[in-house]
Amino acid sequence: MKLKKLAAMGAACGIAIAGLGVASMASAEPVSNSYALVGSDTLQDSVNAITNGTSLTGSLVRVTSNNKTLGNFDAFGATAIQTKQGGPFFGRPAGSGAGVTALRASITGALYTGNVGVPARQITGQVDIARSSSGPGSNANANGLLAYVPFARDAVGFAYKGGDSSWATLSAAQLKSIYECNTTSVGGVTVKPRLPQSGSGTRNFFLGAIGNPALGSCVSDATGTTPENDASVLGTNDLIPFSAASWIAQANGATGVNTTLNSGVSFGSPVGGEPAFTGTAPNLVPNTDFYKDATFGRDTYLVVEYARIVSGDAKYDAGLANLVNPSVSNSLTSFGSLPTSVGAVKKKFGFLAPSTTTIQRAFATL
Amino acid sequence: MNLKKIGTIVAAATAVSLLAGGLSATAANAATPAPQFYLLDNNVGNPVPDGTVLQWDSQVIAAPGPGADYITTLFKGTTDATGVAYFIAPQGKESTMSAWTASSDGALTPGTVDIMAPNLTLSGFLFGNWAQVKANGGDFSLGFAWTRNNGLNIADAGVKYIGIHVKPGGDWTFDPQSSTPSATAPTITTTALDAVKVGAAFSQTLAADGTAPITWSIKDGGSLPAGLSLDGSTGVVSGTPTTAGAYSFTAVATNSAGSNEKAFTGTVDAAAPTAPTKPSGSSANKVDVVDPAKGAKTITVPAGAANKSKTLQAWAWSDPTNLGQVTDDGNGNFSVDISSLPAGEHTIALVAPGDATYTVLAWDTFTKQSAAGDTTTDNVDLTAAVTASDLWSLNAEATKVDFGSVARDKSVTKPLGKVTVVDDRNVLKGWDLTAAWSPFKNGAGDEIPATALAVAPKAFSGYTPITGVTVGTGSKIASSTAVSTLTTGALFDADLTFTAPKDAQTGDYTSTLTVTLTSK
Repeated sequence: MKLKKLAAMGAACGIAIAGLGVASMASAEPVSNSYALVGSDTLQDSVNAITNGTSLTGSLVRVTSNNKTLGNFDAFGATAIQTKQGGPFFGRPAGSGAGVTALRASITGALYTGNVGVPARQITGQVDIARSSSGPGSNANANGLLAYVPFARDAVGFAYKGGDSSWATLSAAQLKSIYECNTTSVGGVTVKPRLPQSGSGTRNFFLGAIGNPALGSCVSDATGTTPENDASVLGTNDLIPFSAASWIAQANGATGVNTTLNSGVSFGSPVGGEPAFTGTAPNLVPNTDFYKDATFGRDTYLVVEYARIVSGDAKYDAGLANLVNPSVSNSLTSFGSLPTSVGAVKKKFGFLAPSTTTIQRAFATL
Repeated sequence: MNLKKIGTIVAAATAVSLLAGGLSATAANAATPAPQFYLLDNNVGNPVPDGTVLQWDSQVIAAPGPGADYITTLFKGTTDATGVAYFIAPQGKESTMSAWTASSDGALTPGTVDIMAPNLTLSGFLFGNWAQVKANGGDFSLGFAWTRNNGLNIADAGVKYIGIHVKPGGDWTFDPQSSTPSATAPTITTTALDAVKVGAAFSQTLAADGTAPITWSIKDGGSLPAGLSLDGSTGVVSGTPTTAGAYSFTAVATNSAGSNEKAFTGTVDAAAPTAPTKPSGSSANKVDVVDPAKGAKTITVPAGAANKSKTLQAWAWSDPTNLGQVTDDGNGNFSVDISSLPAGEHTIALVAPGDATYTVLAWDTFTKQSAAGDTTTDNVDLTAAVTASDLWSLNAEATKVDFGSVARDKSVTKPLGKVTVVDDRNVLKGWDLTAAWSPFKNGAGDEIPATALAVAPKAFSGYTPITGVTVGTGSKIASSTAVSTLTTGALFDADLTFTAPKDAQTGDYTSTLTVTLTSK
């Protein structure tokens, strides 16, 4: 982004930001006056807090960039969003995969669809950072054009409604059998497996962790639009992948919406002997041993164009590079311990520090 | 908040703030040299040192005290406060919201009217003319204010601020924060080393007043007693002295404010004795110990009235032997059990138990006679005359060895025959038995070199060499140390192998082999 552009926006954006103060932090919809973030539902609430400002830790913590605020857009809400001043309305990227796809379109100029309700649009420069609750997987490439920067450590379990006491811990093998519809009853209670929409990073991570089951016909919303990390979607005896961090954040009141209060819903652990958290709401504390699990613990990421954070590249953008540099105090990806730090806010949202700060590159072509 | 919003509050804000936060803050500022808050880095919460040049985006937070421990200490507000604003203001205009150059919204700690560790990073200011501050620089006040009326006015709690100095481009410094008292130079308080003794482990910590950290060193020109060393970071002098004698060194204590020296002199004491020195001749306190009668198990040491009614330690020599504690008879006469001592002359001495100097209080020599039960010795003279035949001879039994016909490039082996060595001389010295042979020649004058014959010595059949006699190899047939072969002699033989060279002329060849016995 050029300085000239920044200056022009600075004069014009004051009123829009003033409106932000009275709007709910969890539904930030004004245009950004610097960088725009889209993608994962799992990460949206914590990123909303640190970009819009939060006093959850007692002290106001807000990440800004060169005297400009950031625009973080939820995964769900109105079907279309406008992220930058004068920019196009385009389909709201709903989830990690859609967020990365939107970022790629923002780089290449390819048309972006987003969702069926919004026509394909060219969104060049409209997305700067994609929230991703999973790593690049098979798209990893040592010379990749995107950089996956570790954001925080999450772990995935499952939420269920009803069931019986044996549902509190279900092994990966049991869960695979359930999603292949070979196991239809657990503890004498019929189980109905559910899945968030296909772009959900939580969904994709969970299915990989339980052994990539061949989804059976009993998974009714395998191709649906069920939002991730929303316990309100559960019917009696339903079971669905769920982010432990999101559950903790909701239960602790860190987010605007708390779906863990829905009647009869519980969080189950796929790691034997390790509950996802300890304590009682609103003071749930992540269980480090559960998060450390190599199968069900996961690092989450912020994804940016690699060239924009490499000093010396023509596209290098110091502001964006600082925002995702974990060694820069108060960056989006930092994880300090002071109550004034970004890390302290992330912990309130049920996240722990990522297992590494090493960037992964992905996508040899966009 | 934005420029337009700031503009609308000019009249109201000015009036209120001068009565509320503005004046009170200024008064407080004048009453105390301490800053209204301390700048800490937002990484680990350390105080930002005075004089630090901060960058526009350096992350700083404000705390009531100089360290991370103060981060959770709240800045106390007043009940009228409903919000918080951060500001960059012209100096003297801190309480005039309309005069603020730049601002940003803060937040009260939830459930309170207090503020916790506001983040005053300059790149975090969102409203007003922060760009001018960054571009042009200047002297400003950086601070935060409790607000009310939706941020229109400053609340009764007022403002807190510090002076900052921004350079064009955004780098900035701040007015010194008197949180850190100036360092005090060290003064060494240790006056002398403890007693230093050879062989005794030593440890003493040199002490100094003054601001930590203090480092320690030894000034050139002096040195610690041999075997001791100084830990520069702790001031601990430790080790085990190795050499007795005088020492002199100067210790130097240094901190950020200066250094201090102190000279130390003294003497390393010799190693402590473990036994009294054996008295003799004119040594003090000699008494008269009567030699014990044969078989007596004790002697009496008349140590005199000076030692009456005492318990003393008894020692006896040649090697100092601790005979245990002895108690006198009330008149200074000590009975010492000498049953553990062998017969012969001894020195007996008494010292006080626990006396590290082992001062001899009474001593004398006495002779203990052998008694029944003692180990005794006596001598019987034994004599014998050793005789010898005084023989020294060599005899090769064979006079001729005939290899017969030998084709070119073929070999024939024949025994040399028995060779007898007799060495039974009166004075045995040992010997060597060697062989030498000449080239083979025929009548026509042809010659086969001596190397055509190989000699492999061995003991003669049926004879086993005695200890000291060794069979050799090649031309060295045998050798012996100074032992007698007795008159039967040592018996040797050798395999003689003749190889006819490929280029040898035919004919009958002869050579002579000579065995030689040489005394060592």
